[in-house]
Amino acid sequence: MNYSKKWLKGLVFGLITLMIIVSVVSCAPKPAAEEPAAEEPAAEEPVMEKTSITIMIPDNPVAFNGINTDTGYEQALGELVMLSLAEVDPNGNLYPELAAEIPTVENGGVVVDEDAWTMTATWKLRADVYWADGEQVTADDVVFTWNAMVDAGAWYAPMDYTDSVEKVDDFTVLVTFNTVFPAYDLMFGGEDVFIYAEHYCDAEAGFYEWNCDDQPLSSGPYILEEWVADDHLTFVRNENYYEEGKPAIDQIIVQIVPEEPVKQAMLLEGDADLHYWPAEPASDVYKEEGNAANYAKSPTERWVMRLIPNMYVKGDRETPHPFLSDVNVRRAMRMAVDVDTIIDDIFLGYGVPVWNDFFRPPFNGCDIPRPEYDLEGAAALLKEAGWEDTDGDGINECHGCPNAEEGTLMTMEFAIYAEYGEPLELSQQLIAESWKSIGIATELQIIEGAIMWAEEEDGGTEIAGNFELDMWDDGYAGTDPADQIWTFYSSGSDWNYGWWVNEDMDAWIDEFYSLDEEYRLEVGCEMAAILEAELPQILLFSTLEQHGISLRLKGVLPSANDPVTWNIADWTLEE
Amino acid sequence: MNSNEKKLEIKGEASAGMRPPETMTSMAWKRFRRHPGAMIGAVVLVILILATLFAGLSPYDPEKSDIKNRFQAPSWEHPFGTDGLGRDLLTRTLFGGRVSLSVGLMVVGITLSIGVPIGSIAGFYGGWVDAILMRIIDATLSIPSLMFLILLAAILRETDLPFVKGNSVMTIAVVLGVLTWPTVARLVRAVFLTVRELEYVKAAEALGASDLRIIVKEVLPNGFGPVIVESTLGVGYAIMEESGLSFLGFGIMPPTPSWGNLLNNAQEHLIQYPWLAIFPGMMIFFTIISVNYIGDGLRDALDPYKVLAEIGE
Repeated sequence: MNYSKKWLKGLVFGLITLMIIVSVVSCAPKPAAEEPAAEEPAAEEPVMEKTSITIMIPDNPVAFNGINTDTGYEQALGELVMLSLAEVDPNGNLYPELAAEIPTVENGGVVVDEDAWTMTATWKLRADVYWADGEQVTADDVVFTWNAMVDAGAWYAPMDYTDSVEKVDDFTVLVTFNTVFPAYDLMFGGEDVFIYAEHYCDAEAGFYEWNCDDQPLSSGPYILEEWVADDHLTFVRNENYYEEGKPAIDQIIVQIVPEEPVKQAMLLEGDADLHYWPAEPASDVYKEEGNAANYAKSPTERWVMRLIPNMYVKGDRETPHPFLSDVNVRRAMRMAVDVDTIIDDIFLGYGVPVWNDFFRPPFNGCDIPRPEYDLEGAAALLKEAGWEDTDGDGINECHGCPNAEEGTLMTMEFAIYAEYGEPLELSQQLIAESWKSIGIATELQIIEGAIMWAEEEDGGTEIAGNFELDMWDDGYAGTDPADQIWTFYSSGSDWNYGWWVNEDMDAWIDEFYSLDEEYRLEVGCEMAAILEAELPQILLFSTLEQHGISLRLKGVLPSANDPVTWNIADWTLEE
Repeated sequence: MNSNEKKLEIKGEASAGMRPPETMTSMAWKRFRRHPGAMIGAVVLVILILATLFAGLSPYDPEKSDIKNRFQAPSWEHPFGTDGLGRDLLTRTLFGGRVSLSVGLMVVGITLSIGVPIGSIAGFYGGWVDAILMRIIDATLSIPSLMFLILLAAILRETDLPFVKGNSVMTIAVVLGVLTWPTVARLVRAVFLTVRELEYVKAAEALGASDLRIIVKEVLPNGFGPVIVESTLGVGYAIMEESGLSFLGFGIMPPTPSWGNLLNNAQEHLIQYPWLAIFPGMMIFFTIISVNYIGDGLRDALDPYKVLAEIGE
């Protein structure tokens, strides 16, 4: 008995010892001597390690086409692969890209016919830019891009003012305008318009359906190598890029990461290099000293958080909205929004109060006073407008209001877009609570941005007028607000989402298209006054164009005038 | 009187005072009480229900912001802390429980009202009626549930129907109920297939009882046990699904709290302010565990074979 116990103990001890030895041996690094160094001659040569960065965005871009859809990511990724004739830097300075220079009156590139009040612009192109397949970028590509947009029925502001776009020679394009058009310099540029390859893009499929939307031929610093929907896009260096020695980084991976905390964790853990448009709490983290991330913001503001009231009943462009169509109600609603609290406490100070679309230089000298936060004043104004809570249920009813039947309840849907995240959701709830205190009931909604801003046939709620009150942020790229003002407030624009119509505004918008900068300032102030008096949109504050950046990534310059990727060819890595 | 007579007399008195035979209900209750998990679950669930019912006693308004006190850590003043608008999280969690538990009960109500009649008809009549209804059930069960829930929630919140407007409790309950009834229907059908062949049912038919009477009075009571068990589990399922829908932004919309949307709103602050997720998560956890144990207890208590074994047959 004793013998067998001893034997068993010995066996167990032996087994355990054997297991420990095996574990230690298997976990130890292999001795260098065992490596077949002689069989790897390449190991002796210095191998340049491929440099790569990861950019995080929350959603797929719809296409490499900024005219097609505007979620912001089309333009951002478009900058990696496509070039335009001209662009704007973060300080508002124009610079040529495919163009050899920006045409101006001074250099003879722009000729104005004072009598006919028309003009021409002559673009000279660089002769050293090639597509990724080796073909040269020429005037034919510019004319092709213009014709493709026209044939597809695409619209952007220059189309209304352009008579023709013609090739003069292989590197010269002549644009003839039917009026004096001040935004001629970004007609083939800015953040939305890229030049596409005539010999590659499928013209028959058309501008909105062609292969160049998802398999673009690159003229920019990178080439799209792979696009795995909802996961990632991989871009590799374009060896044919015209700037010598650029881009410095070999590979860009654009990772689709919807969740803010995940993006934040990835940046802090060194798994990514750029957090595109982080929410304010993340920016606060990146700003802290000692983190593995930096914070960068644009020198100017652009994105204005705004309330967009529909002047008509949801989905019905015939019947005025019972109360949003009344300017006094809109004014009362604005008075009841505590903008400072939203900026300071919810957006953590990352915002600037804005109350008029003419808020950026040089159009910000119109002396429109900032509206006050005044709940009692708002309630009194609602009462004056015929809306009062007489039955004590907390919701105002119509009692002599202009656009609704007696007794109609003051209740509406109030939607925001999901991608912005918690700060916008909390702002929505805070605003709704404030309105509730003056008798305006809301049903809060959160809608995907891709649905909100989709085309009408794709179920887009905004363009179809299928909403009551929405809140989102927008602003104009570059330095000229003319196109945005037209887009939001002209009676002829499909993007005048609230269907607000004002003949005086239409007339002033037409006047705004002038090369006389002094006169444009005056016209800007006339329009600012109308917008203040009518409140077709209720502007609240400007959010910041900000990004989280890894410590090793250098050269990133956020811009309110273009996506942050505008100078990606200049980005470098510092290990 | 001799001693034997006395003994007989005592025996006679004892038989006269003997308790009547136990009913099935009292036996089931006894068996349920002997299931410790089920009893603890019941106590916890009752506490949770009472807490949510008396949530109105909280000194805080669940929807009123207190912006200067946002993201306060748990304290005596705010035992669960505060959220991003400074609202008391305990109050919001308790009010959220009303919504989540209501959704759970409503879903079970909808499930039973669709599943029991369809299962009864399929099981009782059999033949082509059964075949058609079962194919409908199979088709419903084959739908990918989450995708269908999101789609249906998106459609219903755009409708103007009187009781299912927007992301209301009723909308969410209808959305969930539409997907869960087939399980109950199959269960009831299975009971009917077994019981309809028993002699007492045949006897009822021979006596001229109507189909409705046989279904409702004779057969259906035999299916109560499994249906009740399934219903308790259904409550837990519905709470989980409501949380999932709200988490994805298709459920109850803020500022109305539900356990699901409280968790949804907490996801951006899991590291900085973990209490935002911990407390609503604990509520869901305890509720689901409780109803599951209660379901287990009921299954044991209502199992006819165990009852028969207990009475020695």
